[in-house]
Amino acid sequence: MQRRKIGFLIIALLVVLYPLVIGDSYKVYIMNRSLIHAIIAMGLVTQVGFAGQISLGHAAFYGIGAYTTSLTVLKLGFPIGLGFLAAILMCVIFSVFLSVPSFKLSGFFLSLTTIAFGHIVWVIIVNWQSLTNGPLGVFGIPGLKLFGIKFNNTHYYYLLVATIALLYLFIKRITNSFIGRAFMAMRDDELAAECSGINTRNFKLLAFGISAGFAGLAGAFYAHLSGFISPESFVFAESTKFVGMAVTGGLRHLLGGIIGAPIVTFLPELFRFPGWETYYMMAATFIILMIVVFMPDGLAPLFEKGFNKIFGERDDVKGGSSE
Amino acid sequence: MNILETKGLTKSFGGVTANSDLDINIEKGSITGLIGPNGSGKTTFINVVSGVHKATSGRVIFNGQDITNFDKHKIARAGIARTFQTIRLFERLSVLETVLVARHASFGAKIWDAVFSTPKLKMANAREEARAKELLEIVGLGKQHYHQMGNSLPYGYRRSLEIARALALEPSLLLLDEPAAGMNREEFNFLQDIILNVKQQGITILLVEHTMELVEAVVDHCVVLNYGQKLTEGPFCDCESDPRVIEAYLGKEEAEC
Repeated sequence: MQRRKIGFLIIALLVVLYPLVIGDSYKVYIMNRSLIHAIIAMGLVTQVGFAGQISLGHAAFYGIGAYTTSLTVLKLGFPIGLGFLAAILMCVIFSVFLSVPSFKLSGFFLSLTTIAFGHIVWVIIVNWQSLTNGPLGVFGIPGLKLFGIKFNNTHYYYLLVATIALLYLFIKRITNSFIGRAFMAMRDDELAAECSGINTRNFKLLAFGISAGFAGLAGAFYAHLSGFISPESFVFAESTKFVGMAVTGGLRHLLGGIIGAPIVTFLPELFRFPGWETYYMMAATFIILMIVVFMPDGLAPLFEKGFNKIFGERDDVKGGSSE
Repeated sequence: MNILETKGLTKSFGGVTANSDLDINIEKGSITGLIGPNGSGKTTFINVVSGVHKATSGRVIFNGQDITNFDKHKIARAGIARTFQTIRLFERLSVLETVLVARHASFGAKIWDAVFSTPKLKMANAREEARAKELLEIVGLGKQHYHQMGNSLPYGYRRSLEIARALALEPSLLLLDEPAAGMNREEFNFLQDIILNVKQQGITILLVEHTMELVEAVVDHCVVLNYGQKLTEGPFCDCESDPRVIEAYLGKEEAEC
């Protein structure tokens, strides 16, 4: 027990000290972006990994969240907190539209529908110029403030870490409960789940709602963190990146999103050798591909194993070595 | 008193009529056998009653209530549980979890109970786990199996687990779709015990089965289907010796060899 506590403490310390040790504000900013993506990937782990409902359209919810908070704050004069709330709520409402097709569709057909949904939202953002300012995007989105202090990247970092900790607790409690069991039953065999009295429609609505709400929250963070949003941040490629993060981290592991997002974000940086600038993305993508092919369960189980090896109970090992 | 009555139940797939105008009554507390050659519409009947297929026409009356074309989960919660011809367990759920899935409605907890881990949920968890273990006991799955993956069990145990999951709905009618298919002697005997045990608890059973030995041993009443239509019904021994039934299974005897 003691060893495990020490292990958690060390990890917590690393997380807390990260921005202070790094010192480079830009790197902290990139980390913040990856944590924002981690929120989306966590939602996808819940929806895709646990409830079995694929989505390749989450950039749409990310965008809806970002635009909702920006426009309500800038045009309606909402306080930022209320803007966040509006962003989450709007995404949950839109998720209902997307989950209706999932009552009938699954697998490839559902993923096509979600791609279409993502594209429709993107086209609306680009073309509804009177509302969204079209391809030019929305400028001058105010940053967060607390007690008169404007948030810098380090403040955002701590806020994001705290938010992720809370969201982690949220999905952990849900997936470990009777609700998570219904999710997994629905994922493994929908017909058998229904014949066991599970109303799968409700659970699809719930799964889509949770992950859309997460993506909306992430979008709101992004808007206020960067101060500027434009449609190009919410294209289809982003949706696939979010799924890629969840899969790299571990689609069926609660830590999947949290581990996957920073790795997919920072891995390319490792390959930025001089003269190699054109290819660094390719190298990183190749490694991610290898992870997905050879470790379909993702990196989170590996991380967990490593943690248990270093900090886990060691009675058996001790007994063996003293012989 | 009949627990289940179908009136003119018909199910067609395109041009194929799998169930044609079936009037089948199942008496409360009995074991009814539904037999017939391959393709005679037995599984279709179970599928229509359990809501997996929508009926083309006709009605299904359960406990006096018209449940025709209800959603599957509503039929399940109303008290009709089923197993599948090819076993359908949840690939990544343990034995105990598999049974708990079907206890879902009995939790009586809401999503907020899960999020805030309320005492109400903890009580429900303990209560439902205890019940799930009782049910596993009935079908012969002990402590050592609780945390195994359902699909990693030997064949006979997987059948048992499916029955335990069905019983977890606390059904009044249990539909068994060829439970003895592919079983060895030992598993077969055990299954027979389970079925009689379930009957003793007051649960009505509809048994679709090709293994006549099992049908003969457990059923009170037999319905024979052929080409989607009811050929005959009555006690098993009568059905067994009925020339029409023999013909349906084996074909007509060559005249004058």
